[in-house]
Amino acid sequence: MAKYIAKRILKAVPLLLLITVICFVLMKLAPYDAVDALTRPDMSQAEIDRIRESYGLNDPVAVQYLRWLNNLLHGNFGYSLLSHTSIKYDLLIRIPNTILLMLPSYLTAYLLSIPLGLLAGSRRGKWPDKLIDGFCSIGIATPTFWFAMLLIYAFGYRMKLLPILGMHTVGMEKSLPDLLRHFLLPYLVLIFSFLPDLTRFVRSSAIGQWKEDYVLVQKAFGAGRSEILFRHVARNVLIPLITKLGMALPLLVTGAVITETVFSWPGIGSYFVKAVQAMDYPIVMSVLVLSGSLVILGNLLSDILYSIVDPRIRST
Amino acid sequence: MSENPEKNIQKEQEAEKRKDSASSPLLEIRGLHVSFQSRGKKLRAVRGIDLKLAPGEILGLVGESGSGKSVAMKAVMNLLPENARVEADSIHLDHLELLSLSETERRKLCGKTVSMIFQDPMTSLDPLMNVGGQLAEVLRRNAALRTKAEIRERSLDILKKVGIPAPEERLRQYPHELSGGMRQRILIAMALCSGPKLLIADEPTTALDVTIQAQILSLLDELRKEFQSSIILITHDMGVVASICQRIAILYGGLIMESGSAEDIFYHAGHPYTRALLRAVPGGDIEEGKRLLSIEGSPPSLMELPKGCPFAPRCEKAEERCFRELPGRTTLGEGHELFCHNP
Repeated sequence: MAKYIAKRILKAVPLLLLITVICFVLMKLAPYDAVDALTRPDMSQAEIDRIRESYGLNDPVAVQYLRWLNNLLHGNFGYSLLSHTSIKYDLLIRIPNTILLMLPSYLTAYLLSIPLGLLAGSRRGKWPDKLIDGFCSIGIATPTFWFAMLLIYAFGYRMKLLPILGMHTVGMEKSLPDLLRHFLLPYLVLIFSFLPDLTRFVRSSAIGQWKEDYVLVQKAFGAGRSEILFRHVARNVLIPLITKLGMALPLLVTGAVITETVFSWPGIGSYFVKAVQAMDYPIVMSVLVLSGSLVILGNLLSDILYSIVDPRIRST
Repeated sequence: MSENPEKNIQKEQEAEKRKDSASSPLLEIRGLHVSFQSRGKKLRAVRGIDLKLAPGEILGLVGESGSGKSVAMKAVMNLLPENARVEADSIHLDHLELLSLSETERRKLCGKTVSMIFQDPMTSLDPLMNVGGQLAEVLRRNAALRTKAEIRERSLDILKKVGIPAPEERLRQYPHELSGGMRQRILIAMALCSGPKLLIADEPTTALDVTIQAQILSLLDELRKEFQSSIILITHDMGVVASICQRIAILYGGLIMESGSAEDIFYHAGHPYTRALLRAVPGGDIEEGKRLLSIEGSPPSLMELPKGCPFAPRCEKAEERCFRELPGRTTLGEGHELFCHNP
């Protein structure tokens, strides 16, 4: 078991390195000159060359990459080209904001999806299934930004019940009720965007489990539907759902790009979008590396969780 | 309270009935029909079969895939999917008319009065629950055991009975840690927890290798003697039937072709299909390079069953009448029945 986990962690290292290489190469291939973000049209060529030299942009690509990687490993993400603030510092402020929004939304959707999916999957083709599955179809087909706009229009503009932008009202940064009022709309939007997919997953997994031989065997031994559902089917459905939990790890950082942007939530998503628009490449690279690493870590996490929960993997 | 006198009367009646149970059958099926509705088409899997099973008897239900043998028994257990339609004149089990019982009442018979084991032991157990947990669940429900100590004791006891070595260790193990034969033994143990009067074994040895097959079959026979249960053994293997069955019913196209004692079937087979089946059993005289005998053609599609005898298109003795009408019952001897125009 410990050996298995150690092996998985070792396997993750080359993948992480590969991610940094890909991020770096993508940025190098991007059709603009990194120096453009720093220069003004009225600068002389000599000035531009000096800036280029001072940022190390004239060095060989490999040298640039290794220098960047070395900085990353020391926790130095560099500086924003525009605001000259430390990216690490920016991230440290913004990541908690995103997590504050993402974690409750994802957990709510996750916990709701289990009873909904089990109900739909166990009553396949009956009205609860049609209702839930219909909701999922609509949910999957609805663009997040459109639904966000709809809520903003209804609750923010028409009813004027809730604020539509940001995290705090100016001057009320310490007020929890104020934060909750800002939190509610993006929270709902995110639940609505995660729930259909998760419910579908639980539903199809439950349908699959009901077809398993062991269900028929349990029936032959006199078990009732609810007994089979709670003692056998639910447990077998929850195991693959654990993988979803690991996969959700990167969402904690980059899962709400659209929602954060629509609501001007000061998290990573909106930070990233602004950086892309401003060609602030150190930020873009940092966020890419971060989310890429989280994908790997998430996979690792779900593999480890799997091996803890599933006896079939535990023993190998 | 008001139900008590009624229950007493019922009990007395049951006791009386038990006295003459030696002569009255444990299971009696009359006129069982099962059809499936599938994409607007009606698939007729069982088309009116009659079966009788005496207490303590072991009956072999033999037929090719799609002959309806498994479906008929699942109808008795009420295990068919929702798109199945079951019609019967009567299904009597242990003095109860199953057709007049509610779904819940029928479910409560399952595991207690009648149990079933299936073809593939590899997928028949919940992969996430250890053997002890699965046994405990069945014991709690069907043998009314409550305390952990009781359950453990009975689990160990029953695992020993089905011939599982080191039962203490097995209780902690998960299904994937056990071999197929071992899993089938555990399923048999689960099925026998409550000492059911009838055990339906649906091709219990098909997924196992030959040496294990023989072990499982002799285990079933031993347990039948010990628990005094009856067994219905569903199989397509004449060899399996020959080794333990007392009576045999041959199914084809959802109908019984011939039924009788093992001796009747093996030595005095009347139906051309039975004889063809027996010829297809590889004997000791297999020569290298010689093809095994088989029956020409393939079983009829259950979607478009012929008007007459379903075996007629493959039958060597078929005549014009066979294609036109279903044959009626011919009694050849005590308990030896035949459905054929031209035996």
